[in-house]
Amino acid sequence: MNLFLQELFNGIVLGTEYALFAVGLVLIFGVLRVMNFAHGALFAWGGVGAVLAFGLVHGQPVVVSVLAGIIVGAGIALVMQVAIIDVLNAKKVSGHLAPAVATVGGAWVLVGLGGVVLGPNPRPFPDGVLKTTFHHVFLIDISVMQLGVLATAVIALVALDIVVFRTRLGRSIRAVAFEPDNAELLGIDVRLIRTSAFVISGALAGLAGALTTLTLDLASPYLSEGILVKGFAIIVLGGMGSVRGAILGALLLGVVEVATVAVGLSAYRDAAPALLLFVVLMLKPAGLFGRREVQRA
Amino acid sequence: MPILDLLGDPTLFGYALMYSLLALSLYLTFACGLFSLANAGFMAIGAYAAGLLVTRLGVDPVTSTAAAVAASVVIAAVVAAPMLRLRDIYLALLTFGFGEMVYVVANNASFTGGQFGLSVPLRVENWGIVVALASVMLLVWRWRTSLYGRAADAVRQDETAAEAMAIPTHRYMIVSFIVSAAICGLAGSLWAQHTYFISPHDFGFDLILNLFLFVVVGGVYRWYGAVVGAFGLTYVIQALAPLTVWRPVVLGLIMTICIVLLPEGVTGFRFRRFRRKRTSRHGPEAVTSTRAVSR
Repeated sequence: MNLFLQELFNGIVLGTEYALFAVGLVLIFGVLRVMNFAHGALFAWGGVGAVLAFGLVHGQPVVVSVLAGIIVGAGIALVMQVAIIDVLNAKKVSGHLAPAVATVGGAWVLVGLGGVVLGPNPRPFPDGVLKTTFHHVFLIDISVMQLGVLATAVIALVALDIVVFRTRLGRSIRAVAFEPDNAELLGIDVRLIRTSAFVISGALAGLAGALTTLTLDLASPYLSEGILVKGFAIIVLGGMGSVRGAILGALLLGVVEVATVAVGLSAYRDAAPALLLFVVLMLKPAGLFGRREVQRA
Repeated sequence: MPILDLLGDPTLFGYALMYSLLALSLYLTFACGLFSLANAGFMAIGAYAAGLLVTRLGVDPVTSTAAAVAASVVIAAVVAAPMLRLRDIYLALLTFGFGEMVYVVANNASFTGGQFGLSVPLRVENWGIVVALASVMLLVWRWRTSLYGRAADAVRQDETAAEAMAIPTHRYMIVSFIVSAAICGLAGSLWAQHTYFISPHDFGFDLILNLFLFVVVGGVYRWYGAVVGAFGLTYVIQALAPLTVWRPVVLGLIMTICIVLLPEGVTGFRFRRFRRKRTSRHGPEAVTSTRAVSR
């Protein structure tokens, strides 16, 4: 029972990190209709920013790291929006293919630059600054870092949910996601909304990257590929375009992954998302929590 | 002259040929509007089928290649119908999941040699791959200009309208999907018998992304775009090797700039000033769309 609770808790912490990553992917797919292959690179750069900024300001190094991750993620997203998506939109390119491939190119640039900045090996934080002390709380062991990550992630997710469902910006975002032409007719600045959605998504990816880097105690541009596959699996599980579905899907994936390791199948840890993706899409194409998108002729 | 050395390199030429085959297989599915990423998976199936037949039973190259193609076709035929209920991004993700599962099986099963891979003797020389590519190019060219190719084009541009024109859209999609898998199986078999060694990592996410770039940079606008993209980029990637750590950065920049400036690929470039108002044989719409633009 102890072990079960312990693994469940670890799975939930992992799941909230995945959730931060996946909601950004959902947002950008829903609002821009772009499959962003560079989202993993934004995540990895959040971690790179966190490691590089660590200790720049005395007093609160961890907070500075997390903020750096967010800023780096948002900044890169803004550059990508202006340099790639806006240009393609201005040329009236239709379809998913061209923007998706352009983001693949962007991902190569970002991962390559990460390799140039950090060198070939993963970079840990300076020696011993992240002391992981575990406290025994109600049958399970919890570290301060885990609690911090959990709290930050939950605050960010709740804030996102409030922004998307309770504010004017969120209503505009949902309107653009539903039907950009109609939104434009109603006086919404579609380009501005798309840019802000991309920046929010980048900030979330950067935050997820910074938090993951803090838990793993290492940053590497090559983290981008694995998390991207998981992100795709999560948004399918949750039903494309559903923010709350993505959060549930991420928690499910985190728990399943930790459970795979706990029962001794660690070789199949990375197979779990692929298997979930395949089975869910074959049986229930709209995702576990999604509604079927109406196909417009 | 390093450039000339590169062009005369038989190993590189072999890879360019095999990448062209794979890019053509991806083009076949794109050409009828299917956003499928299962190609690396079908290639792995073909490669392992051929590799195991050669190493365990000592089968000759032609028979093993036929068996590899058959294996890919059978598996494609089984998964095609349930998979092709989906479209667009959903299909892309499902087929991507299929590729990942093939990868996981190859990486963990004992008969494939697991992550340490499988050593296969050299059985196919470059001329064999040239013959295979030439046959497939002939096939794709004839298909493109045939009734089936035009019907596939109609399906890509607007599935509903094509259905209304009495085109059996679903059947065409399934046939395209299976033929594409057959080409992947062929390429996989050649790969196994040409490169001495196969491991699951050869057929991972990187390969899918590369094929994607070959096809889109080459252009989905013409059937030979895939071959142009695969050949051109294989040599460009190799030519950039001296840049070491900066190579992925430069490569990514080239890709992005290429897509942003020429969204229809290098073969889709039209000299507007010289050819006025002449619509293409394959319809005026930008073929970077995998779906009808009807709104």
